[in-house]
Formats: sequence, C-alpha cells, structure tokens
Amino acid sequence: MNCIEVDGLSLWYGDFQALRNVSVRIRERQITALIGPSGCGKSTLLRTFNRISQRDASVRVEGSIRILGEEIFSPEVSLIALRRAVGMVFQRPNPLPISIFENVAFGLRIHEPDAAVEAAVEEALTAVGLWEDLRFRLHSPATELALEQQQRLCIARLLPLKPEIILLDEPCSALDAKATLAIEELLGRLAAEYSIVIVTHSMAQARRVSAECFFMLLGEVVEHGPTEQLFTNPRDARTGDYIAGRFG
Amino acid sequence: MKPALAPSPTTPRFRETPAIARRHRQEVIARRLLGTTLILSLVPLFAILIYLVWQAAPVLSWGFLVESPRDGMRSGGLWPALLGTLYLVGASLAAATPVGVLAAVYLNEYARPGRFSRLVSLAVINLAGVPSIVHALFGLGAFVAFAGFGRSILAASLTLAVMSLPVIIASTTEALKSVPQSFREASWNLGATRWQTTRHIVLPNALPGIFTGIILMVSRTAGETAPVLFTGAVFYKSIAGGDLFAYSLLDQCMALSVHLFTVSTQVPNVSDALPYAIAVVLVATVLGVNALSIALRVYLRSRKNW
Repeated sequence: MNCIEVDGLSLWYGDFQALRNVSVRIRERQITALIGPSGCGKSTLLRTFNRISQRDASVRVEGSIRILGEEIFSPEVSLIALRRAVGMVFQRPNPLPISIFENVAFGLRIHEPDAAVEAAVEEALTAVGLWEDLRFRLHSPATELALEQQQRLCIARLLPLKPEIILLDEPCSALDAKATLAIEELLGRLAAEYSIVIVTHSMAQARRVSAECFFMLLGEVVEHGPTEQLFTNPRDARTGDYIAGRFG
Repeated sequence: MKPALAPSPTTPRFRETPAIARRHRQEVIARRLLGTTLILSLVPLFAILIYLVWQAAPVLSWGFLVESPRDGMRSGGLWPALLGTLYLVGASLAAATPVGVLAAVYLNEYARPGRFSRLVSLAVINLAGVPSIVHALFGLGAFVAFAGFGRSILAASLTLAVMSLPVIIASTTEALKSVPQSFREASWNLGATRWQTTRHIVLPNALPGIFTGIILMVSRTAGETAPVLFTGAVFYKSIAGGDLFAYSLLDQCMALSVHLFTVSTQVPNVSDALPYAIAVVLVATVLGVNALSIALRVYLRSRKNW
C-alpha cells in the first residue's frame, strides 16, 4: 500500500522553482529516504506533505498529493487534521519550553482538551526509550535534556496523536555518531507501526535505515528504488556520480 | 655533528617596532576617549538627582506627599497632583495595553508578511515620533470636544493612551519576535491552531518583554505635560489629602508635571525648594516604576527555560 502518492508536483518560491514535476509513491510502514545534494528540493518536498511549507505567501504549488488516498490540496482539507496525521521532526531538536511531560501531552491537549494524558505520555516515552530514564523527572524543563534525548522527545510528542506518517528532516544532523545510531535504531523499531519518510544529507545513513530511496537533483526525482539496488546498481549516471561522492 | 634545527636568533624578532608602538598609542587614546564619554554621560544623570534632592530637602517629608496644597500652593503638599498622575497613568494603561498588545499579536502572529504589514509597521514607528503637543491637540478635538468627555481624566488618559499605543505595539512586537520560530513550528506541526500556539507557547514566553515595554511606557506617560494640560489637568483642585478615591473619571485633576510647571512659573513668591520637591516626587515615581519593571523582568527571566 502507498501512504503518499505525489503526481506532477511543482513548487515555486516566488520566481524560483524548487520542485519540477515530481511524482513519487511512498509505501506505508517502512522507512523511505530522500537523498540528494543541498538545494535539491528534498526538504521542500517533505514539507509539502503536511503543508507546513505553505505558510509563506510567496509559495505556489501545482499538482497533486494524496495521503492515504485523500487529496491534501483540496479546499475541504483541514490543516489541523492533516498535521495530526502527518507529524514532523526537525533538524534541530525543538522541544517546547515547557516540562517533559507537557511536551508529550501538548498535542493531545490541543486536540482533545478532556483526554486523559498520563497513560499516553507514558506509552509515548516508553516507545522512544525515554521512560526509564526520565520517569522521575517528568516535570523538569525539556530544554535541559541532552540533544539526543530532546530529539527522542520530539518524536515521542507526535505519538499520542496516533499519526499515520512521521516526517523527519535531517533528524540527526545536530547529533554525534553514537546518538545518531541510537535514533536510527529507534526509527527502525517505529517503522513497524508508522510510515516514516526521512530526509538525509548522509548517504550512509540512508543506506543504513531505509528500505526505499529517492535521489533528487535540482528539484527533480532522478531515481527511485529499493535502497540496496539504488546504491549498488544505480540506473542513472547522475545517481552513480552522487553516491560515488563525485559531487554534492 | 648534526646541524641546528633552526638558526640561532641573531636579532630578536618579537620586539616592538615603531609601527607597533604607534598602534599601541592609538589603543590607549581610544580606550581613554571611550571611557571619558561614558563618564560624561553618567555625570549629568547623577548631578541632576543629587542637585534635585539637595535643593528639595527642606520641603520633603511624608506630609508633603499626602497633604493638599495651602496658601495659594505656596505651602502644604502635592497629594492631588500625585493622585492625579496615578489616575491618568493607570487609566491610559488600562486603555492602551490590551489594544496595543493584541494589535501587535495580530501583526506578528496572524498577518501574512508582505507589503501591508510592512506598511503598518512603518506607520506605527512613525506614529511613535509624533510630538506630544500634536497628540494633545488631537485629544482636545477628539475626546474633549467631539466625543463630549469634556476636559476630564477620561479625555486626558485616552489622549495619553493614543500616544502610548505605537510604543506598546513596537515593544510587544520586539518581545514576540524574540520567541524562536522553532517553537511555533513545533506547535503548528502538532496541528495546533494559530491561537493555541499564541496562547500556550508564544505569549507566555514573550511576557517578560511585553511587561518591560509597558512599564517603560508608564514612566514616559507620567512625565507628559502638554497632552494632560490640553485635555484635563487643572491649576488647582481641592481634594482631601491622602484620599485615594478623590477623583472620578469625568473630573478634572491635577498632575505632577503640570503642577511643577505652574508652581515654577505661574505662582509668585514660592519657596525655592518647592519646585525641586515636586520634581523629586515625579522622578521618584518614574524611577520606582522602572525598578518594578526590572524586578519583574528578572523574576520572569528566572522562570524562562531557554
């Protein structure tokens, strides 16, 4: 099953075209990586999936994105409901300046003011492997955590909303090698339950974590395939040059 | 025998040359010049304070604060003026704060960045530069005459409110801008509406800055003379000394700034110390409010998590 289907998507920032007629199919319950050199449009593409990119008045979009079969550019779509189902994790961990507990509870509280949050918070923190470490200091500020813990927390706070898709925009670029491996291991476990799309600068990381891989260049998708095949036997010469480190 | 790794120094290289010496001299001059200007700007500040208190000393007392003026304002206290200023500042804040803060929230959190919001920001900045005497005239026309409030505390404080609005909007905007964009993104991405984001994330974190801006505005408002002179302040008003509720909103009132002006220039045979004493009370009120602002800021900062 595909969880995201993109057809003929073009996107402009003012006069600059950042995406050119992009069509992709992203499968559910596995990790899909978007790779490519800086400025290739991979983050831009990721940010269209929950329409966070459209806050800027200068952004113009053409084409179609269906998430779980539903067209997200249709005027009837509620961004609130869409973002509840499609959560995002950013490059720099950005915990809210409130307690650890409140960070995880925040999403539930804003959508369902009467929801019971305690159990959901425990479940989410357990899922990301933070519960044992933090259960006795849930009410200290989230911003005091180590970077890796902050990034785990940023993933954890999506979970109480039961999202379908988790988008990650270079989630490890602020972390050291050990923390990166730990987060990758976490993503691997989460992929059993969630569809995960990760943008990464690191080809090694894409190769370690993803089942399928998209290579983008200058706003276009150049090649797409199972990760192992794309890395060992690229069909397009540009893909080969990029993964061989000849540019980018 | 092995050759030496480096030639032994025949002439020392790490010595001050004439060119380096010149740069040292420039450095000394710069340091002294900059230090002197700092002292020059501090001297008047302390000189004013010390001179004021010294001149005012014969008159200053608790009674001076809480009594009404006597003998055609030549003796007694300044309670009606002190209370009038408190009323004017309080009422103008009550009017200007909600409007100014919420307007700034709209500008910063809701309005799409573009030509319109840039134009509004520019207008706000320029409004802050309109001389207070012009606001005074506007208040006289709009509130005293057109709205029919007459010369009153209400008309005067609304005039002061109009005057403070741009400053409050500008300082609130600064405070909102200081909240990192990543907090907003995190909140939006969880499906929070803009209002939820503003209320739960942005406003709590902008609060110290917003308070500071408002309270600094108080100290400016307290000293304004022209607007209140045009729209509601009187030469003399008899109220009971120490009575906190002596004025109603539609009364005229005395104000410290106007009182200082009239006692200094309009009343013959006033003791030399009296105007200085009024000035000391005015300055002390303003400094007191500023100290409150600093204390509040320190307190709220200490609770901040980023």
